[in-house]
Amino acid sequence: MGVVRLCDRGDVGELVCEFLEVCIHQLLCVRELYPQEIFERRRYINTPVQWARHPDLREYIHSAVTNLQPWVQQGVVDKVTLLVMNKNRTLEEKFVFSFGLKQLSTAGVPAQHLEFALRGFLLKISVSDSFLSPLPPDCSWELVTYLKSSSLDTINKDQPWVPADDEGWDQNFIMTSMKSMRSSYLDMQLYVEHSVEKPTDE
Amino acid sequence: GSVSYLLTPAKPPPSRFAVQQWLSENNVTDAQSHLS
Repeated sequence: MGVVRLCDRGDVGELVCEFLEVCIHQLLCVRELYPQEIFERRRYINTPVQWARHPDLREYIHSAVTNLQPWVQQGVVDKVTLLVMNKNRTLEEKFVFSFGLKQLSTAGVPAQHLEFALRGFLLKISVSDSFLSPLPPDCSWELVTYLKSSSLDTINKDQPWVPADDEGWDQNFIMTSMKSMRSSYLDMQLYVEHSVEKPTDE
Repeated sequence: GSVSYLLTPAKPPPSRFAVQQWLSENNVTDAQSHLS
């Protein structure tokens, strides 16, 4: 089998979105936002990951990320966040994927280079419960993406992504960096912001 | 700093309750136990 090369920012964006979809499944499992029984073990870029079996949930994640892909490929996505709220809709955690896609050289890059870097992110997510406190019961989640201001004209009225409300997000959270990469074609950072006050009497 | 525009999917994700119902209605077994 030949070496797959990423030839342009579109190729990198496509792989990043595929990776993002896997990360969302993985985070939902690790943070126990759904019963563990709905997840099955799979492999992605030679790394074990958890994948939701619930059809509507799978479709929801796939559709959200697919609709995000053109913006990622254009380089107008600043951040994609997965928010976790408690049953009072108060923010508990915010996982942040921060992107910076760059123009590739004409030679492109082997996909394996990026896959190797992405593997590190997946492994870090898989152990994130070791440095995060357990969530309270009945938490919910949502995705929010941050587009760069210059990209507002890229939003068309048929897009399933709609303006988000940012009220109530200015709490004093601590930020824990989980993984970052810098390369000539992609800078990416994953960090989690989480509440300082955590239950300790368990 | 620059201003960002925040967007979210128009629909919320399936609730935990809906997924739990799907589990019980479909009698889904724990995949982990089969694979580990």
